[in-house]
Amino acid sequence: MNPLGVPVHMLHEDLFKGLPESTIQDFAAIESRLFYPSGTALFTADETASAFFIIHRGSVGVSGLDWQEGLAGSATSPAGEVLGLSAALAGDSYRASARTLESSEIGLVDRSEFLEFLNTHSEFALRLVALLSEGLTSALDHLRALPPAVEA
Amino acid sequence: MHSPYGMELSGSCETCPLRGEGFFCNLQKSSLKSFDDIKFTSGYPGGAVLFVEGEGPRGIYVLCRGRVKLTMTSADGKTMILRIVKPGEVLGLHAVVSGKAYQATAETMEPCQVNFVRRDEFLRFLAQNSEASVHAAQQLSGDYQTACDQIRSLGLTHSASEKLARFLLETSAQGQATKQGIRVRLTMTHEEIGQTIGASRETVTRTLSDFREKHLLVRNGSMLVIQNRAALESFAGV
Repeated sequence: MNPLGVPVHMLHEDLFKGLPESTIQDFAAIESRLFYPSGTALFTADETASAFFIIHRGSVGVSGLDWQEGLAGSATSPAGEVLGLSAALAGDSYRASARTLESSEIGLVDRSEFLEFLNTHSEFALRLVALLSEGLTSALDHLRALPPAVEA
Repeated sequence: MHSPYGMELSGSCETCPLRGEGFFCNLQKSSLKSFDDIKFTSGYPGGAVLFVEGEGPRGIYVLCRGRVKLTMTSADGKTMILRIVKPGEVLGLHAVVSGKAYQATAETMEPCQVNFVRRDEFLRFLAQNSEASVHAAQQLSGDYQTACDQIRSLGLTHSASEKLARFLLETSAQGQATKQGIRVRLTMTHEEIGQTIGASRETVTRTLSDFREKHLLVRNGSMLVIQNRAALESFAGV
């Protein structure tokens, strides 16, 4: 749970659980895995999302005002988390900024390559639709449960 | 195909004159043909309820023409407008995929043309058309981003003037720049604006008057001219 009280984050293992090895290998072919030194900015809030990121090792500090890419305030995303996926898919902007907190191994997936990959891997696309549906359900549940607004 | 609500219904997506950039409008020909085979096209008057919050997911609705209001009941029993759905968007998608109840109520705001697809047929269609799955994922991501924006807007403590200023700035994105300022048509009532930003109708009316007195905007019927965008941004804290 993050400071806003929302169940958070898409996990790398959820994306691939039970999928054929060939799909995982095809995905690896479009993912650029690199080591980033501590303090590297991965993306900044309001920047148009042209990629998403998978934290394989290390950790990333996310600050901003969104509960997937980040939070109200800041949070640490550990290895295994996927950052910026919904923004990249929607062709929207990142809602938060992300920076490595230590030397980290990060996978970068370019948006347009990912869309091509989805078009040729229907089982992965369906998995993604299911995960995003769950994410949206959680977000709306959270929205419904927000305390009444105080008018000022 | 004629409809009693003053509009001509288009029965086929392939030849539809309304086809735009919507997620299911720009499918390739073969996918569009498959979609055509499973959808039912209907015309609805304004004020028709397509589905109700808590109801089991019968299917998805693709809005072809008109506007639909998507509302949810908050924890304190108030109506909250999630968003105004525009042509090309899909309604009920995540409920149909997850198999959980619709989380919102969808009500037409004006005469609308809507394509309905039953849940089982839609799931089969998605499984057989990866292109459609990609479009569905993109629509869900957009909806998710919108929900997150709303959580942020309502969940963090904003004053009514801040929230209204943000709402007006977002609305003005579709506006037209004129000598007097940004001109935009405001199609929502004060009550609906209040339901969108989490404020009462009275507060919306009072805050709009306040903005007018400060020469931030002028209003003539449904037309709104934002005269001082910088001051409005300052209220919005952006």
